[in-house]
Amino acid sequence: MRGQAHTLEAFVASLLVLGGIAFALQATAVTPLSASTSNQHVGNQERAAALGVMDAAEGNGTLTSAVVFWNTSGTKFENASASGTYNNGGPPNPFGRALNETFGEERTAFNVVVRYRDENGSRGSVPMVDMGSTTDDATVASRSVVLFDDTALSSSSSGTVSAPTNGTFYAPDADPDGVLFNVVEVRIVVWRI
Amino acid sequence: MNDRGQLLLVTGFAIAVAIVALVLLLNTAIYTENLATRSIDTGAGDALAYRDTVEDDLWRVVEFENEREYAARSTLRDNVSARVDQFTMVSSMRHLEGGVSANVTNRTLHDGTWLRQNASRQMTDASGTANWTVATDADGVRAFEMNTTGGLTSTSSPADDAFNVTVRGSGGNEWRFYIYDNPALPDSELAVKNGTGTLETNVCSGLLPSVPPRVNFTAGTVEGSDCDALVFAKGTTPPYDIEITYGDRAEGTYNATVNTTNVGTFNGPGPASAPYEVPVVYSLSVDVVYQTPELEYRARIRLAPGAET
Repeated sequence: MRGQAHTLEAFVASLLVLGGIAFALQATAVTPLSASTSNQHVGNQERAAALGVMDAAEGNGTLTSAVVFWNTSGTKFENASASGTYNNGGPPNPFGRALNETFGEERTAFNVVVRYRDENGSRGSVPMVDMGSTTDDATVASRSVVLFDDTALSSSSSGTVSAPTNGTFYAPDADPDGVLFNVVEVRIVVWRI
Repeated sequence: MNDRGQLLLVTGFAIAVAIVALVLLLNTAIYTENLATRSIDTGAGDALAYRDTVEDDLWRVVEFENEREYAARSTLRDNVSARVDQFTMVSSMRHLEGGVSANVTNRTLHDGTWLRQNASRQMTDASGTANWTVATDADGVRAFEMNTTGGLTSTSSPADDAFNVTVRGSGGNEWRFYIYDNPALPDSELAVKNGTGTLETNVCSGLLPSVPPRVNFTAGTVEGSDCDALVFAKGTTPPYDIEITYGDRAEGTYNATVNTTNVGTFNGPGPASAPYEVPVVYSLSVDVVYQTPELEYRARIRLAPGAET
């Protein structure tokens, strides 16, 4: 009788110890991809990297060039796939190369969307890079680019955004009476794969 | 021996409590590390980016309206206001969608006048007067460029006889710049007098072409190259009175934008035969306001092109 009681007590004690260990493992389960505060940290880093790429591109003018890298007769970005977007990385211009260098090797995917306004403030958008559907932990970074009526297209199409030689530009003139053409927003969505 | 069961139980509890305490400690350490390395970003970067957008690109919109050469200042001011409103609307819409108020408010337009002689003629005023006042009480002058094409007087005593541009500062000190032809030299000659200083002749002679020179007063260049002796209005303080003396002893074209509406006898306002005046916005002061739940950013910025005086 006493031996049984001791055995039971020992079992209960060991259960307590194992329960404590299990609780401890649960509380400290932090990997980069698990939902936790560290995960947020990775997102912050990716957002900062995306903003860095855009700020650098804005500084040397390649962000504006990438936004007007539009083939007016094909009505899609220059050399984009049939669906109208670049699917295997950034566009074939300095901004796209900067994106690839920043995110290409890091098991990180990104989508780039260009948003614009019409004269009344209604929004339209055109996708530039489409690398698939985003995951729950994706982060977004965006910057504005101001286009004027005389901003020249950087693609093989000739002319300006307000008056392409043939075809049309994707965004409308948001101020037909003035020299302002549009203020477009470049949005980069970044996520780990 | 009867106490052994209790002992085991108590030991079990003690170990469990110790492990839980350890877990709490470890978790706190990880969380602290996370907090410590987390960026304290309240969105200040976005506020500054918005300000940069306004600072870099809004003036272009205003300048375009200036260059349309409106005849009436009221039309100009209405159109500039409308263009600034539209710029603000288009550029701030994306911030509004994110629950952020981004705005350009409290604008002040500073009136100026663009003086143009776009066809070569004598540097006299519109009614042919040779000694005349170009502008009075100008707080600033920019893009003052003169391209002389001929008719320079030949003299060896420029202070008495030569065509010159005079800037008289608020204290009465004068800055004078002379353009003339020296019979002893193959090229034309430039002379400058700074404030209370003495007349310096034959300045920047290495830059002069064989034809009458092109001088940018505010940029301090002769024929596009830096002329160290040419510093606009050196030795004087604003507001300036700008005068031309012996305007009949030089021919050419010029452009100047002055921060005053009080100008001499010109044709216009609006496009007319040379010389004519055009009402412009000399500079624009606005408040850039960027408000998020965590941050309120407000900055007063002044928009104008370079070469400010």
